[in-house]
Amino acid sequence: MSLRTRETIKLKLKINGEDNCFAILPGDRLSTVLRREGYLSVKTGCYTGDCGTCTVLLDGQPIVSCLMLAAQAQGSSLTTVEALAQGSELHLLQKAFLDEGAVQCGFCTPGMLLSALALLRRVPHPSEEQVREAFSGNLCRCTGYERPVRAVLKAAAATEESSK
Amino acid sequence: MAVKVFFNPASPQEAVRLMYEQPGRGAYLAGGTDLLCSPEWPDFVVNIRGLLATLAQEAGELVIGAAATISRIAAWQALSEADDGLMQSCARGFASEQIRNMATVGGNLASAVPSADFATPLLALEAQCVIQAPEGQRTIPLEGFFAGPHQSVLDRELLLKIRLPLPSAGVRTEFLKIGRNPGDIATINVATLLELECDKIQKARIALGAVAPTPIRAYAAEEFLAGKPASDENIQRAADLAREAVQPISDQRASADYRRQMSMVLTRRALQRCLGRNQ
Amino acid sequence: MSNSGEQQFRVVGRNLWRVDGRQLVTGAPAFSDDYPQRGMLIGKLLGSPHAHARIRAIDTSRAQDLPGVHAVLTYKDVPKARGPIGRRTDLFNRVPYTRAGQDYPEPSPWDYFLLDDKMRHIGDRVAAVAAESEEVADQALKLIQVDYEVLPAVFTPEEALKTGAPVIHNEPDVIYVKDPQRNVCSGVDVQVRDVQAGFAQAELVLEHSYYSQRVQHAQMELHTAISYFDEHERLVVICSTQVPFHLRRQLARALGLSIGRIRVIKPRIGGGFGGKQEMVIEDICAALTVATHRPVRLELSRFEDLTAARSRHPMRIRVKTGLKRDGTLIANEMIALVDAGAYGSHSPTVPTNTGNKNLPRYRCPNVHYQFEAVYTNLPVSGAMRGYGTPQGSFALECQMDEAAEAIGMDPVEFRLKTTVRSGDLDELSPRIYEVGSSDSAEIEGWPIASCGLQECLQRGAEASGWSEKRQAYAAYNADKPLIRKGIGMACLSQGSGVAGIDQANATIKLNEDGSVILFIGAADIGTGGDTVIAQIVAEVLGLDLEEVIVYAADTDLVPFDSGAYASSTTYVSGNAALNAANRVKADILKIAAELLEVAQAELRLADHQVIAAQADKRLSLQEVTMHATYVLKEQIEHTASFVSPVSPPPFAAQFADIEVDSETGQIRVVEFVTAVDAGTIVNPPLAIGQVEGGVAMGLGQALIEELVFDERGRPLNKGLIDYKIFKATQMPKFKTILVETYEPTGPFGVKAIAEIPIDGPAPAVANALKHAIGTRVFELPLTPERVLRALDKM
Ligand SMILES: Cc1cc2nc3c(=O)[nH]c(=O)nc-3n(C[C@H](O)[C@H](O)[C@H](O)COP(=O)(O)OP(=O)(O)OC[C@H]3O[C@@H](n4cnc5c(N)ncnc54)[C@H](O)[C@@H]3O)c2cc1C
Ligand code: FES
Ligand code: FES
Repeated sequence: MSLRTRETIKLKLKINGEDNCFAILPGDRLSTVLRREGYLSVKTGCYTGDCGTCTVLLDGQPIVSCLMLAAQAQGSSLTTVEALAQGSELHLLQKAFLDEGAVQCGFCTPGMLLSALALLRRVPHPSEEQVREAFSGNLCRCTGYERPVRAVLKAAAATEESSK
Repeated sequence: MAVKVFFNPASPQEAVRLMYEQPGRGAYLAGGTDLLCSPEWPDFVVNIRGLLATLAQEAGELVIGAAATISRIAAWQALSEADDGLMQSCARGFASEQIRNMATVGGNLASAVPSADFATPLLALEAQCVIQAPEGQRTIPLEGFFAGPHQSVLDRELLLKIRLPLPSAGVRTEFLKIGRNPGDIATINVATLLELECDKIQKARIALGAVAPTPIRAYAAEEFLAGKPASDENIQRAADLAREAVQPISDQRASADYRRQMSMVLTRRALQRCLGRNQ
Repeated sequence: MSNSGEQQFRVVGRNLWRVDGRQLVTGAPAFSDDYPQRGMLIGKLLGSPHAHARIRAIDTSRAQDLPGVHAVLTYKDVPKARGPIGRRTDLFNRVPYTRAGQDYPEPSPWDYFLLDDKMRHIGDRVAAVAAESEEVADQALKLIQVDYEVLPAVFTPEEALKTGAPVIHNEPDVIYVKDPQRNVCSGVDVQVRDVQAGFAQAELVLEHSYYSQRVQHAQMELHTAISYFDEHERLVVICSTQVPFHLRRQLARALGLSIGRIRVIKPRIGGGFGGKQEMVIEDICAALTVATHRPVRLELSRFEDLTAARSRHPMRIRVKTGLKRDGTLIANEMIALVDAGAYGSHSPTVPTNTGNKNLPRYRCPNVHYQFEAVYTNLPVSGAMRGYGTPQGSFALECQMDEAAEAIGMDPVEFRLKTTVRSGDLDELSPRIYEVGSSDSAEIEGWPIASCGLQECLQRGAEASGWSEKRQAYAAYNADKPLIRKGIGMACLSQGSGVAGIDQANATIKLNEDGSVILFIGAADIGTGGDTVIAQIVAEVLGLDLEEVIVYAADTDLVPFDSGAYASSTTYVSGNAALNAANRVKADILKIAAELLEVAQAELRLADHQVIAAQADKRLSLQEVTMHATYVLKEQIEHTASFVSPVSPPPFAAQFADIEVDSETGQIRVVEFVTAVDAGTIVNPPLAIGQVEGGVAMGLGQALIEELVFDERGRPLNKGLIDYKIFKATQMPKFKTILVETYEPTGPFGVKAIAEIPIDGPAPAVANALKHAIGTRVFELPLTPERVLRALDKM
C-alpha cells in the first residue's frame, strides 16, 4: 500500500488548554505531529525514549512523545513548554533556569522544564533526590545536571516565598 | 515499515478478533516503549493503551491489568503491602519517569526479552497469566509463558491480566539489578522471596533475568533452602546453586563470566537482605 | 568577584542571563531543524554494511522510479576528474577534500570524496536520496541494489600496520597522507634534549602502557542540515556546525561552487563538543539540493550519529619516566599509537595535543613525544572536547601517580614539586610546531605567563579533604571490607585557541541611542560564547548586556572567524570583540571631547555616560551618539581582528572520591572536586557549568562510555540505550573552585575553560581506584569486570 491509500485520522486533543484538531496518519509519532503543527519546543534526539528531549505532559504526566503514536493521544490533554510563559513574563522555573546557568545549549531544556513542572505540581517542595529522579529520563550532555537541579530547588523555594 | 492502520478496539475480544482477521502483520500497541523502538513497524496496530489497565484486589489474589503502567503499579499500595515492596522496588530501578508513565507490565512480559525487569519479581510471586484467545480465555503460570529470546507462548493472543496469589503474611522479598547506570536495561536482575518460620526457611523463590534465553527460576536453590535454617552457609550454598542454573551469553553489556559470577553475588545479597542482613 | 588588582568590572564577572536565554527556555525556534523551508525534501543516506568493500555494481533505477523520489546520488554522479575541474557536463567532479574544519590549508589529509565506490567503514556513504517524505526516502534506500566486493578489513592500528595488511587509502588521488601504503595517516616525533641520556641518569625508570577507548560526543541535537537555493540562486545551508567559515570553504571545494555563492548559517546548536567541527553531512545535503534544486533537510539518526559520524581517537600510549628518588623528573617519554579510523580528519592535530598539552605541565629536562595515527576500518576519529588531551592526561597522570608511589611520596606533594610555575617555559610546543628541528637546543620555549596550578593543587586538596581521606581510607581498606574507598587526583593543562592560527574578527555598529549591534563569526555551541563576548563589549562601552545585540555565525553578515574549537571562543573571539569595542569607544570619546571641550585622555566612559572627572563635566552616551548620527552624520562602526601568537594554558587539579563494591566491581563517584585556573571568569555560572558538564562527560569516559564493534566492524551500540552517558541520578557531589589568575594576553585577563574539565576525571578516578583496591587498571573504561579482574575475583 502506498502513502496515498492510507486513511488519515482526525485527531482531537487539547494542547496547552486549547482545543485542536489535526489530520494525521496512523503511523505518525506524537512528536512528529507536534513539531509539524508548530510546537517546536518539542525536540527529538533519538526516537528511542532515551534522551527525553521530546518530553511533553500527557494529562499532567511526563512522557516521551517519540514513543507514542499520535493516534493514541486521541482526546487527551497535552502541555508543552509553549504554555509556560505568560506573554513576555517567564515562568518561575524558566527564570530559575536562567539565573542558575542551567541552560547551556538549551536542547534538553524544554524537556527538563516539563519534567520539573510535573514534579512541582505533585511535590511542591521536593528533595534534591526527588528532583534528580524527575530528571531520570532527561539526558543533558552539557551541564552535568547540577545547575538544572539547583534551579528547580530554587524555583520551589521561590514558590514557597510567594505563597507565604 | 510504516503503520498503515490504527485500530481502537472497545473490548479485549474485539482486539483479538482484529488481530486475527486483519490482513498483514499486526501488533498490539500498549505503551509503545518496545514496539516503537524496533526498526520494523507492523502494518497495523491494535491500541490497547487504557483498555486493560484495571488494578483489583480479589479473593486471595491481586489482579493487574496487562496494560497497567509501571507508575501505577508502583503506586498501588495494596500490592506493596502484600509483596513486601517487591514490585515497587523493581519499578524504582526501571527506565525513567517518562518511560514508567508509558510502559506496561503486559508489554514488558510480552516482549519476552531475557532482561525484562518485571519477569523476575512476577516469577518469584508465582504469577498466573490470563490470556485472551479468539475462542476464549486461558490461564497459565508465568513460568510457562516464555519460550525463548523475544518469544512467548502468545500467538496473536492478548495477555489480559496477571493474577498474583497473595503471599503469606510476613513474606520477605528483594529485587536487585545491575546495569551500567541507573534505569539501564538489566545486565542481570534477581528477585527473591522468603517465607520464614522461626528462623527456618519455609519457602524460597529465586528468579533471575538476563542470564539465560528467558527469565528463569533457580529451582535447585529454592528446593535446597526449603525447610533449612537461614544460616550464612545455607544462603551461600543456594547462591552457588543459582549460579549453576544460569546459561548466560556475552554481549555489549557484560561477559558471560561476569553474569555467572553476579548470579551468585546478587542471589546471596538478595536472600541476605530478605533476612534483614544488610549487605 | 576578585580580579587580580585590575579595575572593578560592571558586566564582566557577573551572573547575567545568557543573551539567547529567553529563546531557549521558551522553546522558540532556535535550532537548525526549527527552520524548515517550503517544499523541503527529506534527504537520507545509505550506509555501507561492510567495513571494507568496493562497489562492483550499483543499480538505483528502482529507487529512482519510486513516486516521490527526486534524486538518488552515487559515486557515478561524481565522476573522476578527467578534464579540468569545473567541467560543465557533470554535476560534480571528483575532488579529494577533508571534512575536518580547520584553517586553510588544512593540516588534514585530503582523503575524502563526496561519494566513492570504495567503502572504508560500516556506515560509510554509499548513496544519498532526496524524497518527499521520510517514508519514501526510507523505501528508496531499500530499493537501491548494490553488489559489493568485500575486502579484508582491519580494526586496530596494530593490525593495520602489519605488512600485507589491506591498504585502506590506495586510491591514487588522495593527498597529504603520510604513508598510505602502510596505512599511516599522520605522525610526529619530537624531542627536547635527550631522553635516553635522561633515563641513564635516572635512579628509577618506570614504563607502562595505557589505553583510552573510543567514545562519542553524544550531543543531544543530532547532526542536522537544511540547504536550499535562495531567491538569488545562492546556496544557503542552515546547519549545526562549529565552523561556519571553514564549512563554507570546504563546501565550495566539494561542490565546485565559488565561496561567494554559499551562505552558511549556524543557528543555536544543541551541543557540539567537537563533533560538529567537521562537515559530517552538509556536503551531501547541499549536493542533494544542487541535484534537485529543492530545499533538502538531512538529519542523521541517532544510530548513524553515534556510529558513523565522529568519535574520540582511541589511543594506546606507552609512557616511560625516569626520575630521582627525591622526586625530580629527569626524562618523560610518551609514544602513542592512534586509531584514526577510516579517514584522516583531525588525525594530524588531535594526537599532537596529546603530547604538547600534557608533557609541558611538568618540569622535566628531557622529553620525547611520538605518535603515529593509523587508518582502520572503523568510524572516523575526529575532534572531541579536549582534542587529544584527555588520552594523554589519562596516561601521564596515572604514570605520575605510579612515580609518586614508587618513591613513597604523596601524589599531591609530588605534583607540587614537579609541575610548572608562572615564568617557566614550554619547550615542547615550539618543537612540535616547527617539526624537523626537534633536538636542536636553540629553539626558544614559549613562556607560561599565568599559572595558578600550585594554588589549584593546594585549594583542591583542601576542599576534597585529601590528606585526611588519603590516610583514613587506607586504614579502612586494610581489613578488605566489601565497599572499598579511594581518593585520587590529577592535574591538567589545556590551551586557549591554537597559537598563530586561530583568527577572529568582530564588527560593532553603534546605534544612535548608544546601543550596539555586534557581529561576530564565533560559533556559540551552547557554551555561552555569544553571551561572554557580549559581556566584554558591554563592559568596554559602559552598556547593559541587553544593549549589545548579537548577530553571530552567519557567513553573509559577520566577519570571518575560525570557529568554535580549542576552547577558543572567549579568548580569541573575545579579544577581537574587545579590540573592536575599544575602537568604538575611542570614537565616542573623541566626539565627546570636542563637545565637552576637554582632552580626550581625561574622559571616561562608564554606565551610559562620558565623564570628565577633572572638569566635572559629563554627557550622556546618547547625547554623544545622537550628535554623531544627526549632526556629524557619521556611522560609528569598527571591525577588529585578533590572532593570538600564544595559546595560554589554563590549569586545573581534580580530585575524585569513590567507593568500589569489591564483589560487583561497580564504582560510585561520591564527590568530585575541580580547582581550575582559567584567568578572569567573565560569567561565573556559565564557567561553573562548563566545569560540571565537562566532568560529567569525563566521568562517562572513565566509567561507562565506549563504542564497541564486533569482529566484522559492526557497531554493537544500537543507540543511546547501549551508549550510556551519565544521568542526573548518578552524579557525584560537585565542588568547583575558580582560582582566578590574570592572563595578560586575554580580554580582561581571561583564558579558556571549556575543555580542561574533561581531562581529569578518568585519571583521577583511575588513581582513586588504585588507592581503593591496590591494583591499577590501565584500560578505560573502568568497567566492573576490569575492576574484578584487578581484584583477582574473576
Ligand atoms: C528508554 C527505555 C528504557 C527502558 N528501560 C527498561 C528497563 O529498565 N527494564 C525493562 O525491563 N525494560 C525497559 N525498557 C523496555 C520497555 O519499556 C518495557 O519492556 C515495557 O514494559 C514495554 O511495555 P509497553 O507497554 O511499552 O510495550 P509495547 O511497546 O506497547 O509492546 C511491546 C510488545 O508487546 C506486545 N504487547 C504489549 N502488550 C501486550 C498484551 N497485553 N498482550 C500481548 N502482547 C502485548 C506488543 O505487541 C509488542 O510486541 C525500556 C525501554 C526504553 C525505551
Ligand atoms: S526523541 Fe524521544 S526520547 Fe529521545
Ligand atoms: S544544555 Fe545541552 S543538552 Fe542540556
